[in-house]
Amino acid sequence: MKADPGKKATLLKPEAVIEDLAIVRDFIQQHAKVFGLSQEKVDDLILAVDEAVTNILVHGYQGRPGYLEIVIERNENHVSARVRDRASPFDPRQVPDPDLTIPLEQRKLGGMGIFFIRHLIDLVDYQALVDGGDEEHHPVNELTLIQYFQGEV
Amino acid sequence: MEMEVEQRQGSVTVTVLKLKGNVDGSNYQQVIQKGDELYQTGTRNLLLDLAAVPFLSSAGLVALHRLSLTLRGSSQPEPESGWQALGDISKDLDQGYQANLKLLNPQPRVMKTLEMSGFTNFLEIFQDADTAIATFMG
Repeated sequence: MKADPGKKATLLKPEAVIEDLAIVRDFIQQHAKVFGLSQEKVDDLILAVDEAVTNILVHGYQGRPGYLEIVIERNENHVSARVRDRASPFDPRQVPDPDLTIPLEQRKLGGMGIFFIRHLIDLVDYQALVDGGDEEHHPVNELTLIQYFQGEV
Repeated sequence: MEMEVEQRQGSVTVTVLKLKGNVDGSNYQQVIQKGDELYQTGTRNLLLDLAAVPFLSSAGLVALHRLSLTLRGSSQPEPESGWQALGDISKDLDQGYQANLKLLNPQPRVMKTLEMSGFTNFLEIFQDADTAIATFMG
């Protein structure tokens, strides 16, 4: 099925750096609102994508410029944001939720970002893709964040 | 992001640090550096004005945590280690609210971040600067 250009938008940053976070947030704000999410769900998606991209740039690429692609798409009952990178394979779903009974000092802040994502997003999915276009043949991480129009389905 | 510093006198001298703009992974270290500067020049009580901060990510929470540690005179971890450890916040939790760092007027989105992370359990939040300044006891 061919995508309707009015229902899909892509942000591509071949050499993304941390200063691009503002561009990322603006991109999500601009499209998620037009796609019909409530402002609260838009704001939650903005924070979740910011946390995901921050983790990619700080931990995945360790501060070096790196490939970043974000695809936001309107579907029948939800808006999805797919965040793709070429850092080392990392499945955020494997990171356990912080145990709120554990003292905060023992929690990792990367874990805090992932905790935010889980808390704010209706459905979180992850795929490690093999990207033939990448000369080093790194898998491409793809994190998918889904916000339903009417609460969690 | 811009920062403004003002000294106010209550029972003790309180430094009001007003942040203007989004606090994220690109600039949270500026807040940490400002906190270090203020501590080195004598600040021991800090009211952090968040009224002009529309957005704050977990990176911003790292900065808040570091400010909290700095004002208590705790050792200074490297900025990068902020990503690894949240330091002595559990002690703050045991002792109730942090005495030397308080927050002023966080906007709803920032409030949500503070609540989600549990930071509202140890950082006292005020809507009015005069009321906040009066609660600092040194």
